[in-house]
Amino acid sequence: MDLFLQQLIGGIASGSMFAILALGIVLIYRSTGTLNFAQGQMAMFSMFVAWSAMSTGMGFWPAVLLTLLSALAMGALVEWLIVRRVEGTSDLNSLIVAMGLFLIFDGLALYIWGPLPKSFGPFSFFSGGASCVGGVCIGRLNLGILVVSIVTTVLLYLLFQCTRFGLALRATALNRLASRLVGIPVGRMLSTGWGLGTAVGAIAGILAAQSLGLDIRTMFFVVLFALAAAVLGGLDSPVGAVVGGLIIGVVKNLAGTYTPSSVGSIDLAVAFAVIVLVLMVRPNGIFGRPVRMRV
Amino acid sequence: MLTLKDIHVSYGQAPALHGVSLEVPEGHIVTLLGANGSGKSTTIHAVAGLLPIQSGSIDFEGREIAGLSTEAIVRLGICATLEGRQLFGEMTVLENLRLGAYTQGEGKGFDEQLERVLTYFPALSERLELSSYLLSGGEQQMLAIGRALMARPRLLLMDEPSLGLAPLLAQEMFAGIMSLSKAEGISVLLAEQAADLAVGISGYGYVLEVGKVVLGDTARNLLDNEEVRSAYLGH
Ligand SMILES: Nc1ncnc2c1ncn2[C@@H]1O[C@H](COP(=O)(O)OP(=O)(O)OP(=O)(O)O)[C@@H](O)[C@H]1O
Ligand SMILES: [Mg+2]
Repeated sequence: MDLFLQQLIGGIASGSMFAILALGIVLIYRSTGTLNFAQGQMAMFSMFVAWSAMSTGMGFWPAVLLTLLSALAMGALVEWLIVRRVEGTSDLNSLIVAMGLFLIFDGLALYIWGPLPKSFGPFSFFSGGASCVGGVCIGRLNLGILVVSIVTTVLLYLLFQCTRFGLALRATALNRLASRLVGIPVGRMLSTGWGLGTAVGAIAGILAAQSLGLDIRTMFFVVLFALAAAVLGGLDSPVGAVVGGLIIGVVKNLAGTYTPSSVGSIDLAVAFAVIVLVLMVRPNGIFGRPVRMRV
Repeated sequence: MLTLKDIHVSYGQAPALHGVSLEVPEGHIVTLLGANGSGKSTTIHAVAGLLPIQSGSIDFEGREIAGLSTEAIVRLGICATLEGRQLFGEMTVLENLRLGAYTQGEGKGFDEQLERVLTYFPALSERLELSSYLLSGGEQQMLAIGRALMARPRLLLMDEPSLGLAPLLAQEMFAGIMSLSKAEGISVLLAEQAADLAVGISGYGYVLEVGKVVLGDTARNLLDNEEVRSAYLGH
């Protein structure tokens, strides 16, 4: 039983990392309808920005702040410079944009920082002794990841549900024509959506780097799970992204624990089998809405 | 208050308006008549800044507004309700009204304006927390108008507000628009296809035919005009 709880907590922690990255994917999807699978490489780029900032002697938190601001600007710039040019042309074009972004950030990072992995954490916030309740313990790294994920999610929730700006962001995602009609600067909202999504991705990147290290390929498999989480939860649903991320994290961890290690990476197979099963029952994801006809 | 001079608009290569000129005097209700595809909606969209204008000028209270963004036009005091109502269906009635006031901020003025708008549409005040797609057609139209009013416009553009409403409801709707225009001093440009009621509350009307104004006259004269009556007023 303790082993089960232990693995459950571990799954929730790694799942919350997928959830955060998935949140970023959902924010961008809701903004311009782009399924941005370059999200991982953009997060990786932000991780290197943080690394660079810190290697100039900057402290951890100031470097994080700088990274988030630069990610915000980077995402907004990408929307304004690139995504906007091909919007509404065809789904294929937006797919190609995501592919292009993937290559741009991958190549840019390789060019600037080189192919070698960097040492990046775990930082003091993420290291130290485990905290135990009863027989169940949570390591400092997982605790840190969990805390950051929860804070990020709560802040985003407050932004979207309790502010006028958040209301306008949601409105733009729902109906652009109506948004223009009430005087919302739609273009700026779309840029903001990309900026927020990219900044949230950067947070996921920094979390990932604590357990997986900093490398150009660090985010390859994280983004795979985040995309799966977003699809599982329903691509247009932030709540779905969080729930989807947690489910995948937990299933993957438990599958890894209770299957013989000789089978190798069966945990991945089980996680994706669960996704396929859910999507067979709910094609729009757990919280996704079927497209409703407007009267 | 609003003067259109020789407006030209195309959708891609296809011209939709070739030389529309019309005028909405301060405090008046003006109706745009015309058959399907004559360009009524296009005219409304053009004034609201939702479509680019090839040539011509749109003067609003002495300012050229052709080429301005919809946001800027809303801030100057022109709001539109469109065909299909364009509500935020998944949002509540109150959220829709809050969004209507987006350009106004949400201070004390918001509550005042909300109260005022709800006095015109009391049915909405009991449904503030309801998702707007659950409203009846008439209530949705009220919400669309109420949302536009939240921005404190001085000119209201309305595209077929009676579309899909039962005759009795349509009658109520137009009576509401008239009293609202009087009480708040709001000018209205109204596009309607079956337009007896619309012309009935208007002071002036224009007839559009394939993207051109072919007739502009007082509502009384339009009502007396045999050709107009048989073509647009359903008699
Ligand atoms: N989005 C569009 N793309 C291309 N052509 C369009 C578009 N919208 C309208 N048109 C064309 O422009 C012309 C004017 O259309 P408009 O919608 O303004 O007419 P309307 O008077 O509002 O008609 P209705 O009474 O049917 O609403 C029509 O020939 C129409 O086919
Ligand atoms: Mg029309």
